Amino acid sequence: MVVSCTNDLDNPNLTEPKLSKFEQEIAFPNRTGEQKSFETKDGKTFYYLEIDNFKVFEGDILISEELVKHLKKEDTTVTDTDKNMQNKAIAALSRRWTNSTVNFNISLPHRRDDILWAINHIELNTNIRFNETATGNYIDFVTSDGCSSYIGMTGGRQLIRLADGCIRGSIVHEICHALGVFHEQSRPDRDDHIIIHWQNIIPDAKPNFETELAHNYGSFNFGSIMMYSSWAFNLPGTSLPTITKLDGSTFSTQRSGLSNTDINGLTDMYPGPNKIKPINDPYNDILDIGANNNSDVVYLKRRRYYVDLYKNNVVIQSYRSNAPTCVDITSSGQILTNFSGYNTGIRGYTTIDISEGGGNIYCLANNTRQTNLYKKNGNSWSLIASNIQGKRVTVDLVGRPWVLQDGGIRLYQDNGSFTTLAMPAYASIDDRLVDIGSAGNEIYVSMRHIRNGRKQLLKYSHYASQLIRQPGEANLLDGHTSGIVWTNL
Amino acid sequence: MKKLFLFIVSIVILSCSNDESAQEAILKVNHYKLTAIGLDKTLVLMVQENENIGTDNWSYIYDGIDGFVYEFGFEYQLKVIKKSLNNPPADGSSIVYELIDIISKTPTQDVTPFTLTLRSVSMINPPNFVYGDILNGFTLLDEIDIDCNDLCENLSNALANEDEVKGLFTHGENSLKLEEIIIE
Repeated sequence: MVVSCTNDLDNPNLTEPKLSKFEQEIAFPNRTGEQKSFETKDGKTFYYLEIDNFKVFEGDILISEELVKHLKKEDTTVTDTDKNMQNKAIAALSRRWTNSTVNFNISLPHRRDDILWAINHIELNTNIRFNETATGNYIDFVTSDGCSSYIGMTGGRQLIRLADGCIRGSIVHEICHALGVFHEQSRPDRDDHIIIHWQNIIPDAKPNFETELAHNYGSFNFGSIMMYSSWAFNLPGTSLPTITKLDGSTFSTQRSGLSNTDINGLTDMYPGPNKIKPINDPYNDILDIGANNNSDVVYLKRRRYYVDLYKNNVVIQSYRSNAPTCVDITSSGQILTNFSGYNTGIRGYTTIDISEGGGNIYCLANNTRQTNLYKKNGNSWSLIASNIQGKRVTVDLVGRPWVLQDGGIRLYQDNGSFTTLAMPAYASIDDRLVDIGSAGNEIYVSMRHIRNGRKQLLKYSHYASQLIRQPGEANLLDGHTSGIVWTNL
Repeated sequence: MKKLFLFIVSIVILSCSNDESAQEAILKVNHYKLTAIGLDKTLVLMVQENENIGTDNWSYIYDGIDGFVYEFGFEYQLKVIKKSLNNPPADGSSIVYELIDIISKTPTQDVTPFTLTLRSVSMINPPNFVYGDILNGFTLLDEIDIDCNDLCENLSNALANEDEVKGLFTHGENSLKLEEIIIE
């Protein structure tokens, strides 16, 4: 006799432990480990796989011992590194909607105008688009005595329950949950800003006040549409607050619409249709790509004993020997390479990458011992930083050099100081950063998985100070001011 | 063979649990709902469960009971399935109730007036739990009519001008009868 296990609730994520899901993920393809778990300080069970002494969370996120310690609260000192690692590890907890598009169905017609108002409000302020169809993965708006939604795309039909008392702003709030946004009061850093008065909360609602393994966007924002009021879910008939500021005072919240912080967060999560322009390169012959703000693109491509220099997909020069390996094109149309026509000529060093932006030209050059960053000053090159282990460089619109290294990117100042800005939020131990490029105001990074070949495009979020996964794939890359990213695929 | 069958059935039952606990419970549901604040303003069921029935200890259900249609002015005894969720939806309850059967539904004999918050500037924005006006009549969150009798003008003024307003109610016919307005 076989009995199927039907889940009469609407969230497939209830079926923990998550072993089968871990096995499908990609950090350790075709390899399984021992499933383990521990209790977090919030009383939750944190599941992970242990493979070859690595702790793997959600299949492709490595968890450090420090983070485990922090989550278990064995160590009461929380460093910035801990917080950063926690943020990175947790970003994948919420599942995002494919192609920034959300299917939906309305099963409570008397609230149709309110629901469409909320959807329109989100569409007007973000890159997210909604499509009314009850197919595939979709949100079904249904009636209820309360307002509730699961976090992120759960797969198949998922419900947003709306009571008649749920005002339009609260419908926006619920849709944001379905898009993958947690409550503001659940941020990991909330204890720096608010006090939760657990004794005043009705017992069944307490999970809404727990900190989530969540990703912070910007600073704590009492004006977020995801922030609870001071009296949310308090004991009925009393005026006892459930949340106060650190000084004990209560605060007001708003449900009139998305705050700027909310919009920035959603824009990071849902960047909209990608602007990738692929260059056909099935045999991986392209050596480097450069683009400027006049819609010109140049690239170097191997052809047997030659390297061809293309400009706008037309060969303009071929090299038989001493061929260049890196290329860029300036706003004025000057083509920069590490050979004929524009050799950087740094004695004893080989130029490995070169880039122009905002009128500044920087290059990376190495010898057998080290890699240095140089800046072009007239006819000479100034050393900016030595022994930096950089692999690729790009210069942004305002002329600042961003250097890609193993495991991260750095933004350099001309005095050699630097800021390590972000580690890839979704990287597994087998992911390698490939290239970095500037497109418009954005910095893009490509990443390749050395085992399964998966290529990803990441964008540096100036807002969240992290690399955020983007739609589409990328390999070598550079971009236009318009935001178009050229890449070979 | 019988033991093997029982073993298989046990595994099947355990594997279908989805890490939730579910159990039957008897609930007493009070004859009125309380105004409350969840994500938004709402009216919540007042319930007593099992051994608490008949005591002064009330619990509150914000998300309703699946399959149950409530009417003000009646006291109910319900048989329900009570499920505890490990992963409740955001803004929802960690416990969900599903109606199995209505054991009893009786008009309340309790004539004691009960107090409901009608407006609170300090706690919620917009502050009114009462919708409507003198011309079209008043409701409590559009869920039940308020029979304001000769207090309608006072109610309208209080809702417009006072910060904290409560009302003392008894049951009317398909309505709540406003007996007194309390300004705090």
